[in-house]
Amino acid sequence: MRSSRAGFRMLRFLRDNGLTLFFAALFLAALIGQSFAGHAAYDQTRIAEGLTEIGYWRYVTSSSFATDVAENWQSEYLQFFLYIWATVWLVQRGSPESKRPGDAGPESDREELVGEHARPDSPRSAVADGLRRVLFSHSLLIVMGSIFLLSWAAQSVAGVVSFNEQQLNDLQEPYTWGRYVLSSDFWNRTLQNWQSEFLAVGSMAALSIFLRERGSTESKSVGAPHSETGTNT
Amino acid sequence: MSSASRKVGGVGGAALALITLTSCASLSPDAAAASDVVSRFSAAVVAGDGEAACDLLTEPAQRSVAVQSGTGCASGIVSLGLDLDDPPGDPEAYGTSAFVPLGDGAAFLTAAEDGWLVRAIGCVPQGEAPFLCVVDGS
Repeated sequence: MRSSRAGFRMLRFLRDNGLTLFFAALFLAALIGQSFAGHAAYDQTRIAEGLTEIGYWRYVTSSSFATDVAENWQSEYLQFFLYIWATVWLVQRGSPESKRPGDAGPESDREELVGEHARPDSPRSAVADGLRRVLFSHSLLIVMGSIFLLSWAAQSVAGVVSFNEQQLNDLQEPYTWGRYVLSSDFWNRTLQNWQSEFLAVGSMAALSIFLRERGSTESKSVGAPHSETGTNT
Repeated sequence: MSSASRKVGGVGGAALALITLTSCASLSPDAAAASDVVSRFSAAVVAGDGEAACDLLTEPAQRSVAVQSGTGCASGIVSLGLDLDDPPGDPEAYGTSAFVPLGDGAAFLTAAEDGWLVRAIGCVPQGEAPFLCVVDGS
């Protein structure tokens, strides 16, 4: 009896958190795959340079692996940070994720259900006054922006180590961190990630005007007119 | 915030902390040990102990000395005229590579299973181009 209740709870947990769990599993699988492929590529380069191979665990704790991971993380969090911020102030007529033209801005307390307009089941921080409410009102942007900055900083720290290791392998002088963050290597790695994220977000905003995916919250209803804006807002 | 959200946030934070720690750990392999290897190498060459000096070179560097000198590594390394008068300067180590300044030049080392080995020494800078080295195992 007790085990069937536990099984029911587990199934309900899986059903209620499917989206997060699905992407968490994909993330782990991709990260593990990246570590094996990255290790093989790293060792190939070392062999070509007349250096000894390194073990798998040494690779996954290396600056080379850390840079490759962090440079992708920072760009993903930047993408969401900008999208969250831009959808406050900019609109795209026909996009299901956009507010309607004329609605740009932080909205009124009534629309945002804060202060005296909060519902009984609203988070307590939405009812609170002062700094607590201000911080909660922007908590998503603050957290996404903070993770972006931390990931970007981690990329620069791991990046200078990885870059300098390659410099030394090529019998060239190492860079300081300050010189590295102004270098073409750092900005090439950074901008090649940024451009792909911006393209994907821009494409999504534009394509979702005319294209549909039945049942997805990222799409308008199949029969909704192309001009309908803000289906999901 | 739900406990599930807290857990997800905690895992993300831990992962980011791990990356940062990894970055910092990779910053500080034992650079002093690399400098010590260069000192021992210099002392061996100055003392005419070619075998001890060659033990501190990578295999490609040993082959390079043998080819250059036309003799074996042990006899060749002491006759190359390496300028090793200056003591090692502040060493820098990154991942599996190390850089040890020697006067106006430098030595380059690589991590082996049981410590650092000299990959190139007697190296002088060439502007933006790679250093030009008397012993070059690259």
